[in-house]
Amino acid sequence: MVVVKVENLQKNFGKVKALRGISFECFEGEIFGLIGPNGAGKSTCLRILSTILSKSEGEVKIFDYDVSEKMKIKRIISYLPEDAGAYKNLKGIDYLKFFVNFFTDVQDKDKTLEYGIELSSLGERLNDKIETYSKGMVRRLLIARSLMINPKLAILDEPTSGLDVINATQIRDIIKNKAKEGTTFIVSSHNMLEVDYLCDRISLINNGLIVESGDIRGLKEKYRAQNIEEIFVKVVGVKNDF
Amino acid sequence: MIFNIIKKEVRELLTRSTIISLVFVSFMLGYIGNFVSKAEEGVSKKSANIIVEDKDSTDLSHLFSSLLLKFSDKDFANNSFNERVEKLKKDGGAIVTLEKGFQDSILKEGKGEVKIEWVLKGTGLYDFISSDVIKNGLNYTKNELIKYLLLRKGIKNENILEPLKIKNENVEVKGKVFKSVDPKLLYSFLGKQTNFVPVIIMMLIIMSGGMIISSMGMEKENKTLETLLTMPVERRDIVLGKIIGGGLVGIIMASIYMIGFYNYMKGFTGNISSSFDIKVFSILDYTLVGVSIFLSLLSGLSLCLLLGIFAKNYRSAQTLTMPVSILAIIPFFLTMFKDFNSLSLPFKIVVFLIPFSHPMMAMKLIFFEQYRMLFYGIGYNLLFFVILSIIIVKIFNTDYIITGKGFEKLFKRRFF
Ligand SMILES: Nc1ncnc2c1ncn2[C@@H]1O[C@H](COP(=O)(O)OP(=O)(O)O)[C@@H](O)[C@H]1O
Ligand SMILES: [Mg+2]
Repeated sequence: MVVVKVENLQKNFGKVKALRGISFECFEGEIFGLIGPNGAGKSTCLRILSTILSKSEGEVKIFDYDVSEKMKIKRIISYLPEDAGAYKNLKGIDYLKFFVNFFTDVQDKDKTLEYGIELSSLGERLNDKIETYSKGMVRRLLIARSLMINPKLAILDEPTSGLDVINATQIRDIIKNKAKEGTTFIVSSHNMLEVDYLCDRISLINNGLIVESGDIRGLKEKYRAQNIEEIFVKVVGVKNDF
Repeated sequence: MIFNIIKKEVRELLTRSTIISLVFVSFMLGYIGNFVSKAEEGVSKKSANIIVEDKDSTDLSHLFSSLLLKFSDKDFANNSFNERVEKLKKDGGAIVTLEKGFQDSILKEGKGEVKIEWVLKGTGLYDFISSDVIKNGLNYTKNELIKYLLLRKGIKNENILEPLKIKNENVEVKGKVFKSVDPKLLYSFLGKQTNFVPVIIMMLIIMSGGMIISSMGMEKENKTLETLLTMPVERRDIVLGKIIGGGLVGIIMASIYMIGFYNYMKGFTGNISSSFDIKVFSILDYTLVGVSIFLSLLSGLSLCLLLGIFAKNYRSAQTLTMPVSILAIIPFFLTMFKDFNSLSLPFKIVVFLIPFSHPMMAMKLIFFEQYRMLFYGIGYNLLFFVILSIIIVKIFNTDYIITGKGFEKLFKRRFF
């Protein structure tokens, strides 16, 4: 089942063409990777998918809803912004409660919260203010926040960037486990090596254009490459528009 | 849904440390006020340490001593001379010396010399009390001496020093008449009633305005705003939740401050209204003032939220609170020193356009029954709030709320 369908999506910021017409699809239960260097247009694309930016051209559908049907989409998705923080003066537990309360259609709020607490694996530290957390702890809290409501689609913008190996692995494991339960993920990353471990299918994006898409094993065979970094270099070539 | 946002705002903004620091400031203000009022009581009640060295020993010098020593401390006077000097050097007071020939000079030249050696215990407020008491005593002594000297010339009139009997029939201000008061007293009474509100407004605006701008700055810095915008909640509710939340926190903080300030004011003006007791303001009047304050607060908060949209992060948010503070201070001073009506036209326009002026003037307007101006102000504030809110919700519904480059760049593009 197609969860996300993007066709010829374009986005201009004034004169800057951040997206020059990209198309891709994600299927239910998969972890889809939007992979590319900094400035390629990943965040812009994910922000449009999560309804907080408008598109300039093209078509974006999420579960048959057009992105303009914001409220309907917002009920079934979760979004984790790049480099996000949290309300520093709140306790971790109050942060989770705050976001649970937005989902009035969630049957059992206590259970949802309970699940969020479990996902964060922060234990007693949830009763401390967020300003006392390490970067890894904050990220776990944010991941827990975005997954505790069991979204149908989770849009995570560089969920592991800036984290050490241990924290990054932890986050990736949470994502993989959740995907097994049927949640669809769109994840962006500029770290092409971690993608191997995390994603089922990827699109390589460069300079506002998708240059290659497919499942990772197929792409490796096609380009006779060991990893995605090699694929990217082969696809983009030595010449780079930057 | 709005309630959830309001609750979060309050939780986030009303931290323990901000409350503690505010309670501390409030307590200090009250303490100062208390201190001042005690000092003022002191002047009217207390006696001081006075030693009179009478080297003349004549009728007039005896009279002088007995009159002045009425102001001397009783316990102090019971000590021996040496003990008294010692105590005076320690606790402050005055040694008054009448040289030989005091009486002769008065009778011949009309002036007798009195030498005073002051000893101050320190330079604090309390330390000047005794010197004020002694000055009062000297004044009293002088008046009694005049009466005595006149009596010797055969003029026997108790009221010779106050030949005029002044009756304040009434004071008329802008057509409004007040019975049997002194204009100065009227001014103090009005000041007490009307200066309190402007200070509170100023604090309220500066505090809750700062709160809401910082809140926006923090939301942007931590990208929590992006997350919030993907929650299944109307952006309009986010805007209202922020305004109401910021307002609540502002009101709580201003109330803590108000208690302190009230005690502070009481210290200065505590004894005025008792001698001048007229019921000027009705419940309806106070309600009108309340409405005016409330709408002005909403205007201020929406203005701050609009500015907050341009904040890039917490730091730039802090600098954005400056213009709002200035806007709150301008009408505060203008309305304190001058009446709205006595301002020149350009100033009138400026004061009217600043949404914080109206509750600051409200008390005076009611006092002089200029209700029309009061209602114009209320209407203006309502309009201001509604229009700004619409603009804010509009901006919240565009990309600008996410892509907004921060106000510095906005200005750069325009002017450079
Ligand atoms: N608010 C904005 N205004 C102007 N240009 C922007 C804005 N946001 C992003 N861009 C530009 O769009 C391009 C893509 O940015 P982005 O989507 O953040 O890339 P990525 O997330 O892949 O690093 C970049 O060239 C960036 O400079
Ligand atoms: Mg990005």
